[in-house]
Amino acid sequence: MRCGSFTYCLFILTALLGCRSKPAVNSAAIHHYIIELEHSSRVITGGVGFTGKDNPTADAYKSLLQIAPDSVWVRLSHSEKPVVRMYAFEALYNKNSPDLEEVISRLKTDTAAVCEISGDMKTTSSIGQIVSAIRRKKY
Amino acid sequence: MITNQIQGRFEVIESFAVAARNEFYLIGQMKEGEIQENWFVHIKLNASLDLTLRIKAVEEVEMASDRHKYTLIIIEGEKEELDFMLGMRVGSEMVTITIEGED
Repeated sequence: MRCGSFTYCLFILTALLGCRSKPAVNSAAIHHYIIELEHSSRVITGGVGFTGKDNPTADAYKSLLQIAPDSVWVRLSHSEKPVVRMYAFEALYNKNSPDLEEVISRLKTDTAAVCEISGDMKTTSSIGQIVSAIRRKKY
Repeated sequence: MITNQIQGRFEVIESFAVAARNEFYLIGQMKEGEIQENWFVHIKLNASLDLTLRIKAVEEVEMASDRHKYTLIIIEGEKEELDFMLGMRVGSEMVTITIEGED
C-alpha cells in the first residue's frame, strides 16, 4: 500500500515537473545586455582596478557570454560600435569558436581604437593590433 | 487553465526581420496545439535555457510555389533584440508556445 502511494506521488511530481517550462531569459534582458555593451566606452572583461571591483558592463558581457550562441557574437562582430566588435572577438576567442578565424581575418585590419581594461591594466590600441597580438600569442 | 504549460509546438522553417518595422518573423507550421496573439514563443538558447518572446501577431501565409499554408509569427523588438534574434539563425527547429512568459 505504502509502495503504491509512493509511486503515485512520484508520478504526480514527475507530471508536474514535466509541465513546467525551462528557465528562460526574456527579450528585455537581451536588450539590456547589448545596450550596456554598446554604451560602454571601454572593453572591460574582468573586475576593475586592483581590488577587481565588479562592473555592470563586464557583468552584461558575462551574462551574454553564457546565453548567446557563437552566431550572435559573429553578428555582433559586424556592429558599428568598435567596443561591441571587440567584445564579440573576446567572446569568440574565449569560447574557442570555430568562427574565430573568419572574425580575426576581418578584424585584423580594423583601425578603430578601443580601450581595454582588465584588472589594473589599461591599454588603448586599434582592434586590428589587439586581434593580431592575441592571434600571435595563440598560434 | 495552467498557463505555463506548453500549448503548442511550432516548426520554424526560417526567420527574418524587417528593421524598419522593428519586427522579427518566424515562418513555419504548427505541429500540435494552438497559438494566439500575446502568448509566448520559447526559442532554445542552450540545453538549459530558453529565450521567451511575446507574440505580437499570428498570420496565415500562402506561397506561390507551394499549396501548403504556413504560419507567420510576428514578434516586436528593438534593434538590439532583432540583431540578437537574427544572430540566433532560428530555422529548421521546433519552438514551443506557452500562454505565460516574460517580456
